[in-house]
Amino acid sequence: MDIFSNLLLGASTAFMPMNLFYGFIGCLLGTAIGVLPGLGPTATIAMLLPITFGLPPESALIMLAGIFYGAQYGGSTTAILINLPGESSSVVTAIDGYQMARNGRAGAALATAALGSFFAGSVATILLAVAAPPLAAVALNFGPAEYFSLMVLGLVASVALASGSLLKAFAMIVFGLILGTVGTDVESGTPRYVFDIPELYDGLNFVAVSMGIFGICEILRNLEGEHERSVGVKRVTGLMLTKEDLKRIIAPVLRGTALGSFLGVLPGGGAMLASFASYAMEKRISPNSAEFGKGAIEGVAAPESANNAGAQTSFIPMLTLGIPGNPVMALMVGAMIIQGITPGPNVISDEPALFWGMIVSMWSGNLMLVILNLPLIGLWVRMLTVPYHLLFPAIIGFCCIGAYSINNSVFDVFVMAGFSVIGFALSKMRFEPAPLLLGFILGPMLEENLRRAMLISQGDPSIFVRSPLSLSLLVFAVVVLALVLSPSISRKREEAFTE
Amino acid sequence: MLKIRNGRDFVGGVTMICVGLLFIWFGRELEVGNSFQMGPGYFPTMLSLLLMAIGALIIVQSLILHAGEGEPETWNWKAYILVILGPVGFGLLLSGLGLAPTMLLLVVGMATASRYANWRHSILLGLFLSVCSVLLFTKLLSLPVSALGPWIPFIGELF
Amino acid sequence: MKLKRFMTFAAVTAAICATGLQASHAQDYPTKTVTVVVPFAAGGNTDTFGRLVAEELDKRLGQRFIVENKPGAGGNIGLGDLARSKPDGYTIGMGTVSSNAINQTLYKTLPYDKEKGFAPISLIASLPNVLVVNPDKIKANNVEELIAFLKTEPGKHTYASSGVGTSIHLAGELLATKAGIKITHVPYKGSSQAILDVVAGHVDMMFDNIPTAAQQVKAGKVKALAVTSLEKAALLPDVPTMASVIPGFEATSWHGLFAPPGTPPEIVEKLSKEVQAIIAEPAMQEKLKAMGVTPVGNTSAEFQTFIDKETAKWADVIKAANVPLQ
Repeated sequence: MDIFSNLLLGASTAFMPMNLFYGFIGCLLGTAIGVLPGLGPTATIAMLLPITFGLPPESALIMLAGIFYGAQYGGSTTAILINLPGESSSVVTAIDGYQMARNGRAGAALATAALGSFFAGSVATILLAVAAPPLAAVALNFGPAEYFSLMVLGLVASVALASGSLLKAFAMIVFGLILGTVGTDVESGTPRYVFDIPELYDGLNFVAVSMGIFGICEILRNLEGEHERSVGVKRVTGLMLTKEDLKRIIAPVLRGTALGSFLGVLPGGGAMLASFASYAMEKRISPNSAEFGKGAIEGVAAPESANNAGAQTSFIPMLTLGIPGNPVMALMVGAMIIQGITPGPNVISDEPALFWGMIVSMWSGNLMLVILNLPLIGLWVRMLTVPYHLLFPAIIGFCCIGAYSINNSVFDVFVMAGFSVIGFALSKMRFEPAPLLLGFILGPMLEENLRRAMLISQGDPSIFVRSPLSLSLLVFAVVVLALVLSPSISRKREEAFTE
Repeated sequence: MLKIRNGRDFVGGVTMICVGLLFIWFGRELEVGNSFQMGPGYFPTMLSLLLMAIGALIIVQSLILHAGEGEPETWNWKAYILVILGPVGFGLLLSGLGLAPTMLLLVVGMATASRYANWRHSILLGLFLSVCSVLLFTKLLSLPVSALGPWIPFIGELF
Repeated sequence: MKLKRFMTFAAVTAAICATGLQASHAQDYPTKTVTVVVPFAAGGNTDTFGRLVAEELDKRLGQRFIVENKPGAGGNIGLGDLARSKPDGYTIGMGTVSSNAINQTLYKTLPYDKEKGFAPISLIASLPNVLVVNPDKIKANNVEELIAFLKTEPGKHTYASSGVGTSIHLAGELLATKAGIKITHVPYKGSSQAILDVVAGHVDMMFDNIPTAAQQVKAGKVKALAVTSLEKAALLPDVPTMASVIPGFEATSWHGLFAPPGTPPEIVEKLSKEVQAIIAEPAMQEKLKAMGVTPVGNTSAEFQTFIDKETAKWADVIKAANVPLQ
């Protein structure tokens, strides 16, 4: 197999003027829709899917991929500017990105996200081109037991997301896990906590919960302090990155890319884990770890690169095995079927132009995204100078429509309103929302895989330690837990003794 | 004699215990099973118990450790009520009034939560956003929501 | 005074509504945009079939047919909306074996009247399932060998499904009851994770919708033992039918078009004729067959008989297999 001739074939498809054009339109539309609060990649693709039906297969898929990247980038933009993560992977970007924006460094945060994403996307695309089949084989090794252990590791790592009390962070994770059990139990089909409301059978929607608990809640907090501090942001200083910034983000971007590329291959929520695993890692090892939670640029660079690398490699299971790893990929498969291509393990050999064309277009798509978005940063930042009393009604308005658009139902608007109350009450008690959301995302996967593994092993828990992969993940989780706990326990003890 | 040294954490711990109790109560009919054959109630029940335990620890901590220095609390009940009821109203009115009037009402209503708002600006913003959202969502993205709903007589029928 | 004005207003509104109703006579129908409710998310099978048919109805009847996705609760939310909408032919919707034959038994309560049901327009397409096994885990080349093999190790082997109460799950239960074997059900959220774990060997076998499974079979990742339709499937012509081993074994995933209960029969009739004609078109036949789907198209009465038969069949399976009701 000659990689260069393949890439050449791909380039000849991807760089056809028509395909370049559709790729560009895709990025543009994706960014435009994705920056609207509540409209993440899945919603955006689902809405824009019909317009690709009339296109030839290559163009349609290239355009959809463009929409995907664009929407993902747009989601980070709202996370940074108004503390509103539009999808699960930008939850962590919101933590430090929003603080940077409040410190007047929104431009630097957005530039970091754009450049980090571009770098990570390029590396992951190369990885995809040279190593897709072996990586897919690795993904197959992850069965229910391995996923469970991976989720445990992810949960342990998510404790690091809290900047305040560790105990309270644990409480939020557990609360999030409990909220994740709302809906029909996958294993038995029993409805849990649904109160005979049909809309709850599929569980609470992540986007609605996150908009309530992050976005609307933030507006409440800003409004209550309106008369004393100037709401919103400090003076905007410098749109671009300084040399110092660049120096600080290089290592986090590299580490984030590596972690994201690997975890993204795993179809069961790997890409989700990637962004906050990399955040947790940076917080541990960064020399500026004290700044995390208060606007550390590393806290944007690492998760954004991990996120985008993961987004790239999450195409691997779909392209090599024909099996979609997440809802976005499921939509892509749907689009392929409508185009008359049934994705499967033979797509590489049957449709080489399509396969390699898509890979090359991933890179060109990322390039277009950077070219498109760097100039836009100035525009986004200027949006923050709009007086707050005009900005926040607009945010709420778009949040409402965004929540409605999830399932074309007003129920999710009510969920959003309900969670703004819960989130606000929690913030008054100084509980942080990020660990709650991560518990909420990981909870269902944790439970499903735990019970599935036990079902397969017929009630024998040794399945988690028999597999070397699962065992090493668990051991790693214990080590991380010890690392997280040790400084804080000794610190607490000192405080207690000085009382 | 124990004294509550950190009132906020004390309330927080109590809240967590209440949340745990609430979920155990509403999930009381779910079959729990055992660790080897977990029923649908196993996970929520165990987690609720864990949450209650953590809540208890938070209470204990609030009795030992003093609260750190924090910003003084400010409350703005008018803003809370408006901002929380806004989306609820949006949800209730959307199917009847249609997107454009609902959006206008929402934006104008929300704006009054801010002390800097004035009616002229709010109404202009509301009109602008209703037109934008109708163009974007109803026309461009063909979201299944009409610009003017059936409650608006005559004109609503046409859409 | 105010009351009088209101009365005049009400009278005028009523008159407008009445003319609106008259306009919905079958020969003029449709005079305005028709909404096609798809009770599942965009991009799935049901959505695809809904869009294909809506697009053609659009061309033939000269009015817009707009697809509206209302996903949730196994299709119940969208169908609840459909049941509540005005039965004037301007809201119709898609339904599937799950939403219109299995859920009737599986769910204790439905957001619409089970007895009234819907006015069936036409069956559009039916997708056979195929029984695939992981070749490393199950040493069997056909269904007889599989049953014999599973009988030697009862309860030791697993089959995956896309969720409790889906046609994929119930096909497995049907096999277990008809063949008298014990296999452990491992449910997933959706079929893609499930087939992935069968390919990887974490789960031993599953019934899966044919288009995706056929690709895995052709690549040699899994072995196909039988298809669940009464006739052999075009995508896998060498694979025998389940019915050839277990007579009467049929478990297909079908998709059809429905109108709310109480829709004027003339309108249902008109739509049914159009849908049948659309499906009979060679281009449409080719398109559907390429997707591994059997195009159907039948009259309202035929469709109703079919639904009744399916509902009864799955009710028996659910009871025999003790599937917990939701």
